[in-house]
Amino acid sequence: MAEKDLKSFEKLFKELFKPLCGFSLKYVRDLDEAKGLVHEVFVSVWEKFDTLPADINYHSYLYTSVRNRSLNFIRDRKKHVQFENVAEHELTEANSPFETVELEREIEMAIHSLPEKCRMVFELNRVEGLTYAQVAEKMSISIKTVEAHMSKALSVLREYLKEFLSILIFLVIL
Amino acid sequence: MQDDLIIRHLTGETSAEEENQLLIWRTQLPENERYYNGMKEIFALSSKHYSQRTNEQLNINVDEEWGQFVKTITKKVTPVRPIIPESPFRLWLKIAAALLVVVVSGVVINYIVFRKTDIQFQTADQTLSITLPEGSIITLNQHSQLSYASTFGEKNRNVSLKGEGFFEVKRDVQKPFVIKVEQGTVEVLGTSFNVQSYDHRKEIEVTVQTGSVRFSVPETKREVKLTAGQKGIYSKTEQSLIGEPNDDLNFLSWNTRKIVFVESELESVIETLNETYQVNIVLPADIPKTCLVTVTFDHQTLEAVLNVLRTTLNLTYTIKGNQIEITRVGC
Repeated sequence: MAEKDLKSFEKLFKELFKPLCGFSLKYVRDLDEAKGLVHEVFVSVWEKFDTLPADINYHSYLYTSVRNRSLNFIRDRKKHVQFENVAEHELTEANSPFETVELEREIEMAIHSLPEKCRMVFELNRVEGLTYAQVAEKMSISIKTVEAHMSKALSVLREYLKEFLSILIFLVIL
Repeated sequence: MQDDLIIRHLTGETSAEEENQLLIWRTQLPENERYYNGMKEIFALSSKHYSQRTNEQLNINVDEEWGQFVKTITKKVTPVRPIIPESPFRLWLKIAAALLVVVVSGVVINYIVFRKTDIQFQTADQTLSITLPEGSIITLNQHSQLSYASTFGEKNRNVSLKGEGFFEVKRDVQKPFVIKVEQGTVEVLGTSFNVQSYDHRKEIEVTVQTGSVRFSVPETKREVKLTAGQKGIYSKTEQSLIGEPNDDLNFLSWNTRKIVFVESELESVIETLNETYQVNIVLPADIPKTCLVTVTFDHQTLEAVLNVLRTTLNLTYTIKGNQIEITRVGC
């Protein structure tokens, strides 16, 4: 494979390896397993690297792959120790009645499935705490566009978190 | 939609005039307010739970991992498989090996199945009270089945239920009591509750009398925690799991033979009687269903109950085979 491809792949790898491990960890709850799964995903993406469309959203693609692999991993593990994970459940429930981890990973998945610009706007506003005007300036776009990206982000989040929302509302009724 | 406005408000970008505009919109319709609250909740959740900072605590050296990655992809050479025509002898060997696998796995499965679920109770037209080795008491409703392994209580307390049962579970924090039903699992420490999971029913219901219960449906990754006076309903068709306050006073009637009606509509009265006595009383469409009934029965026969309804509601019925049809209601 071409040398320059490896260079651009390195950038992608270094940007996302750690966050993806953190994401996988929310499923498999074991750092070594998470790292292993993320490695597998990167290897399989690398193998397909030159055949993937040029405009592919790598965030979304990688997060989806890691999520699928993590889910398969848990499913296979469950088959082996069917009842032991009851205890594992117990641990998470001590913190909150409904699994916060589950919620966190849905949010993470939702955010990384956003179009790239949209995700950047959302992160600058929500994580970095920039105002619409500051985000607009930093990304050289108009405030109206920032607004449109924020709306899009929230509507995608709403779609992903719909089920949690109904559970939360139910909690309020109680 | 008002999305832009709501989000501007949530991010603190609104002007005073826009704030006013939003307030008016919210008060116009209850669903506007609900919509707003949903958005607010989502917004708060996404800000609270989404932070990339937590990843910084992870003990990962990205440069090292990259080195390892490069090693993996350079080492990886697609193996070349030699193409050798299969000899007849090899084919027979394969068949023999396959047969051996079938026989051996049959023996193993047999061993596992018969060792693990060798105690089973099945009811027909009667109810049955079972005391488990560790002291928990289970009452099985009619046409129900309970099974557990002979190793029950050694490492865990796992049972399987088909149909309906009332559980009074002895407390043991070390070994949670786990009930597997068709699609869900009910897990408890020590408490009493009713589980209804008949194959022919569209819903699985768990009603808690004392203590607390966790009801989970692994297939859909849903779970609810239920406490005394609540019930969890899993809909098999919609794959939804909800918890709600239990307003059915008679959820244990099949066991206690005590039935309480407080201003209950005739339709729900009939439903309760059908469940309690496992009969088939039918209320034709042209009969008013909204007559209110207030009465308590304690260990009464179905005949006695029908007698009371006949005189209080001025009702008549006919018996056709195993079906009882209401023919007239005078309220």
